[in-house]
Amino acid sequence: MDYLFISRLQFALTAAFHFLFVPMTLGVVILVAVMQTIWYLTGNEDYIKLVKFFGKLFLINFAIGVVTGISLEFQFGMNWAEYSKYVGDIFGVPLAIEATVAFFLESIFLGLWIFGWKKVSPKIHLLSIWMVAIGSNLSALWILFANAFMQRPVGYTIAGSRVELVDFKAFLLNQYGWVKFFHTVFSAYVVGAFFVMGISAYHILKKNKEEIFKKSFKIAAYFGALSSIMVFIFGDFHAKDIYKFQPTKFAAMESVWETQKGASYPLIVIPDEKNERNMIEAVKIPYFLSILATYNPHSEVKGLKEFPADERPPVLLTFLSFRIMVLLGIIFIAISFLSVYLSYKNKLENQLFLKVILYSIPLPYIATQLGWIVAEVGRQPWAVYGLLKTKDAISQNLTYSQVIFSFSGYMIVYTILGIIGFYLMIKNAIKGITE
Amino acid sequence: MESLQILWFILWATLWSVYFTLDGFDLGSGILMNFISKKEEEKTAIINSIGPFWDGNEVWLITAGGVTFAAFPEAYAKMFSWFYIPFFLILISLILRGVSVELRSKVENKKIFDFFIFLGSFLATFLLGVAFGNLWSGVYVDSNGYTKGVIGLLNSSGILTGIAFVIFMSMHGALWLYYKMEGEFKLKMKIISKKLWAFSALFYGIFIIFLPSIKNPNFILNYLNGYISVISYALAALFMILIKKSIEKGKDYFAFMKSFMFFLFFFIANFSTQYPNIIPSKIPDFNVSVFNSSSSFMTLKIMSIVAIVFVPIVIAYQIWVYKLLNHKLNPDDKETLFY
Repeated sequence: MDYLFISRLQFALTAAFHFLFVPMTLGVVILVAVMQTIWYLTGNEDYIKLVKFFGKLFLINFAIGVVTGISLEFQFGMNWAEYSKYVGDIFGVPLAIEATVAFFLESIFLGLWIFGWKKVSPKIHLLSIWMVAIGSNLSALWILFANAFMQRPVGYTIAGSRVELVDFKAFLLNQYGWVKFFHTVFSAYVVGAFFVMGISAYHILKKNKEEIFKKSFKIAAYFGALSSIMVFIFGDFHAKDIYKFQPTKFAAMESVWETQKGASYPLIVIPDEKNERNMIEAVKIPYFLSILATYNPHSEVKGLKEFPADERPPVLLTFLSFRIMVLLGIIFIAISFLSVYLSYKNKLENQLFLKVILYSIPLPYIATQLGWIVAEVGRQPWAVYGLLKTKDAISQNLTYSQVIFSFSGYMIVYTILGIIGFYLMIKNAIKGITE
Repeated sequence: MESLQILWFILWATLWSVYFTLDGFDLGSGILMNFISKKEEEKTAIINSIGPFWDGNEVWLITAGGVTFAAFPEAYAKMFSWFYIPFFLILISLILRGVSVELRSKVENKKIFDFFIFLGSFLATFLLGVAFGNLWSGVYVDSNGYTKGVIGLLNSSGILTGIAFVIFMSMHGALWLYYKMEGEFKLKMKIISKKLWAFSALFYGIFIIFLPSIKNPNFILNYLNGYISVISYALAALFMILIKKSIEKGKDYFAFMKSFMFFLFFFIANFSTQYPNIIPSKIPDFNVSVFNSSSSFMTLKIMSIVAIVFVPIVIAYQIWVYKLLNHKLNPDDKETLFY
């Protein structure tokens, strides 16, 4: 294990940990804002109780999400100095804009929302939660555009030992970035929807203010149904972009070794990386892989063997993460549409159904983590696809002991944060609406 | 191109200065909290006073970091990889402190959170002082970059600036609390502010006297920024003196605002001594300056437009939110507290 490996592990784990909190923020803030809007418009007290209850859970989540984000921005310079020098001219721009345009909006108005209950008018208070919602979603836009440049670099020229921005419009119109943005934020909304549905289901089961929680369940179910469909649609667009711009990632996602035309889609695959083949390929759907890649059933899908072995990502991890993510995505559509139906018919009594909903809370979290594994492990060995390899992106002056020190520090502190966050979340979620 | 690089040095220094000035009072409040409060209600009042604002203040740090990355990628890469351990400790401190401030109200046993609020605030403040003290006095950079590790940063200028940060920000925090509190606790804050003012004034004196020896002695000859820094140091001293008068007259708001101005000029003064370098080297050949570390013309131009349009908007709504939440807190009157 060298410091390159530890640095990669450190970035992966700190980013993954941060992203346990991000999607809940993005999704639940919208649901809370919607509930507060309903209260503002109708004066129905049930909704303000829901706002306060879910608002508290949101704040516990936000507290850990916001502080764990800080370390990511600085890790680029600390551990990935060569990367920062190479792409800073372009990559730094969305990061700086994200802070200026989005983070301020999010943080300043969240402070107003938390502490403004009795101090400002209901109108300004409502405005503040919407500003938080806009700010957090805008920040997702900018950071995903930064990430999109790593996946599909556009609008640049190579000038000496770095890339320079030549076409900002091309950067902003990077199709890869837009599709990725929508795929990611809708997946975050699914996380938020399942969270609110699950907690509501718990209290409906316990018959604790269940009439109020049926209202939050209903809103979340509609939100979840719409979002899970959108995740799927944008996921399909995203796969087609990946096929076009990152053929090695696409081949690894589907574990395709040989280039083939009119490729079929085997439902059961067991990859055998060592021998550059699949041990088992069974239950094939004809032409479906070509359709997934391009819409055209006769199109060619490039296999991994087309590329030098040192330019292929790890296949098994990318493949499994992708398959499980897609499977979960289908389950989300089924669950959320069933929820909408039962909620619409006012039949939220089935114990088993409510338990399924409760225990489904972790599933979208798992799916979003798997999505990032596909995106980032599938990008390897590149830091910037086709331009800079991860091994060349590492800081040159670091020592093994420095990186081990920071790695251990992050692991200890994040474990503590995880335990505190989980404990407080469960405690407050179980407590329910108390007033 | 050159004028854009100079503009971005000014913006870069301004962003860091605003960060220190704003986060300074909540870091200072965090350092002081356990020492100045006896009752739980007093701690609650202190946390309530910084609760709405600390996060927005810290976004200035994220912005300063992001701008360093975007405008001076070479300097960003060097600064953070060379000062790896100090910045790691600063980040961990800010993480622990931020979480503790946010979640303190939601747990029964608050002792450990109170400890982390102190430790995080203190360590972040001190280490930021060490890091920037080294920038202001020059870093040992040679053809291998900076290689002397943490120990190399704990020199006289690093430690002196670190202590100065802790003392100044404690005063800043005390004045903030003096302004925000009401009732008996306010009077206590007034006394504490006076004491910390005396320490700060003394230490500012020491800082100024030792300045030429810890900095490159020639910095004053460096005409334009030499003048700017000398004038700014003088203005900082003036505001330092004026703080005392405001405290004595009981004008809490003005005392805090003067401390605010002291901070701004103190940082402007220090940053202007390092112009045009982002990381000044003890060996001038290895200076990391705005001219050899900046982004391309196109990037600086886009960033300028973003900064000129959005930073004033941010400042406007940040001031607006400060005004909306400008009520006073009284530890003896639960109605004024939140949790």
